[in-house]
Amino acid sequence: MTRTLKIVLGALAGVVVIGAVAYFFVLPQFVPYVFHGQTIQSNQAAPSVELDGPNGSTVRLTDYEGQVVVLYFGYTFCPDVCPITLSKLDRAMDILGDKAEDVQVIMVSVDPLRDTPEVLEQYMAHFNPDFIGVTGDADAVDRIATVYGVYYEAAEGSEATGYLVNHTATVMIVDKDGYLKLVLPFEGTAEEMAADLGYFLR
Amino acid sequence: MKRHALFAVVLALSLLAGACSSSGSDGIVVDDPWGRASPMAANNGVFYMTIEGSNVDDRLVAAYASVCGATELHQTIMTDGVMRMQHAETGIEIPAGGEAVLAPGGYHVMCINKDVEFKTGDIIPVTLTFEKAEMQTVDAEIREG
Amino acid sequence: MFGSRCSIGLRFTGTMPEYIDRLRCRYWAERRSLNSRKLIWWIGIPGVLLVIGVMAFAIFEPIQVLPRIRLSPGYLLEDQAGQSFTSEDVRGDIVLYTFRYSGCGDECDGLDQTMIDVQRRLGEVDMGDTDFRLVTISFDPATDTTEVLTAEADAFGADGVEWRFATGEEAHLANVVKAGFKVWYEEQEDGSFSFDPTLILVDGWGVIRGEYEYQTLKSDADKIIHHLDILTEEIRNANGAAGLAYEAAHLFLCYP
Repeated sequence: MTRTLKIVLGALAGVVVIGAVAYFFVLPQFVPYVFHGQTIQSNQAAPSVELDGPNGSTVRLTDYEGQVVVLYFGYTFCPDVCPITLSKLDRAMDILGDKAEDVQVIMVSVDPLRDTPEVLEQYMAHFNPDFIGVTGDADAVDRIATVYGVYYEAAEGSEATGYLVNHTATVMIVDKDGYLKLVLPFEGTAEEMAADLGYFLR
Repeated sequence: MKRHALFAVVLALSLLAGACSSSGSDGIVVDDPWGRASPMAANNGVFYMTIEGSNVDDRLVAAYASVCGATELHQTIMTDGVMRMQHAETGIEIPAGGEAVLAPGGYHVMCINKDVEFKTGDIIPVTLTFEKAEMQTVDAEIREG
Repeated sequence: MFGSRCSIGLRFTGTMPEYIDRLRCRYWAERRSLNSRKLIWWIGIPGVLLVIGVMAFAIFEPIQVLPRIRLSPGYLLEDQAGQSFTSEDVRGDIVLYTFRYSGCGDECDGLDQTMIDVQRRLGEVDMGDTDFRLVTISFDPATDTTEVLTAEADAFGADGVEWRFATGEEAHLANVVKAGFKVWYEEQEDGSFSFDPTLILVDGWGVIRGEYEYQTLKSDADKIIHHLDILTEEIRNANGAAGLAYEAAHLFLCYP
């Protein structure tokens, strides 16, 4: 092999190495992260939440400053949709691993008549021991659902079920500083949720 | 002569037997019935399955499980982020040669006021009533979902 | 250019020490001939172009965006036809909200005229596939029954589809208008209401993009139409790579 050839090959190898380093390590720093939901850049803190939580405690959103809070509005009576979202969130916690310590999942019940704090506590524990459920009187729940853009309505069910609650099934993400940053649609996968949460846990 | 007669009888009997067993391949087949694990704190449970149609259009009209206070067929309808549940009063259609899918986010059997906790691994028998085909009882396996 | 002193040729011939000598020679030769003129060409011009580019971007703002202020509230109201009307019914549409009551007199003239003006001038904006809706919410459900709302709506030419008048239960309204839209209103002793005349623009994703405290007729309708332009432009273009540029604009640019 002639010396020229060696130099050329050496240069080529160098280019490939530099290119690989640039592509895998440098470029990703410059491409903005794309979320899987609707971002909000409000400069106003997320609306306060003050509802009854497990063990007679009062749960406030501000209690979780420093943690990322995931807010979901649902109710225990629906066996299909609400468990799907909570299972996905549980899997997202698994994917996040240690980082999940800094995430708090809270479900606000839009069915305060049937969902007492005791029922909610047992229900949430089934999905993940760290998840909590909160509720309150009708007006408190109405205010919080309203300011979080959640529509909910008691609709007629059958004789056996009693009323069913139609509701917006989106998931809200509040960052560590208490600002509502992201609204995830129901259709998202656990992996997408984990990726987006991971961004706020950096 | 006797041998021919014997042969004819055996042939006739076997044909009859064949005729009786042929209904199996044209009937309704229920695939993978399962239910979601659910604590007692949750009032209701849910079952899912895939129902393969027979050679005629049919309909699942009812379901029954002894552990449920009441059992109903429901459909979850998601439009633009809003979740609604509707009682499928006329049942669930099973097109001939096609299938009806009861899966998360869509049609499901709702077990109302369940008496027991649904634990992963449990088997719960669910009896399905069809409009035309015969009733079937399937064993739904409880999973994490 | 460098003179034959360095016998340049970067081809590797001869021995390594000789080759290094030649490289060294060329390096020094080049250094000497690097003068300010070269610097101007190689550094100055790209630098100036960059500065001009940034200034042009800031001045001409090829990409403009409206701020995502906060989430629009969820609500369950009843419209002028007595039908249930919820926040989900307008998901996907751009909506302009305003808040008043039927007993409002002259103080509402400007506000009302702005809504009428915006509806009239909608043709100036290329809405694309997005629908535009106007919603007037009454915070006086006691007086503004379905009949009253219908009469009001008719007076304004509000057809109940593109422009709806709606109201709801008092407690819920307080949450929706005061806590959600952050518009203040208060019933006075004589039954009239004091309130902040406000218009609020919400996009199809349920995010509040504009809050307009009513000032004068012309400037309000002008500003709203201009903002609608910006918003529909963003909706039209925010796909793929262009979408990234819009996200960057949200982060870096000042808002109009």
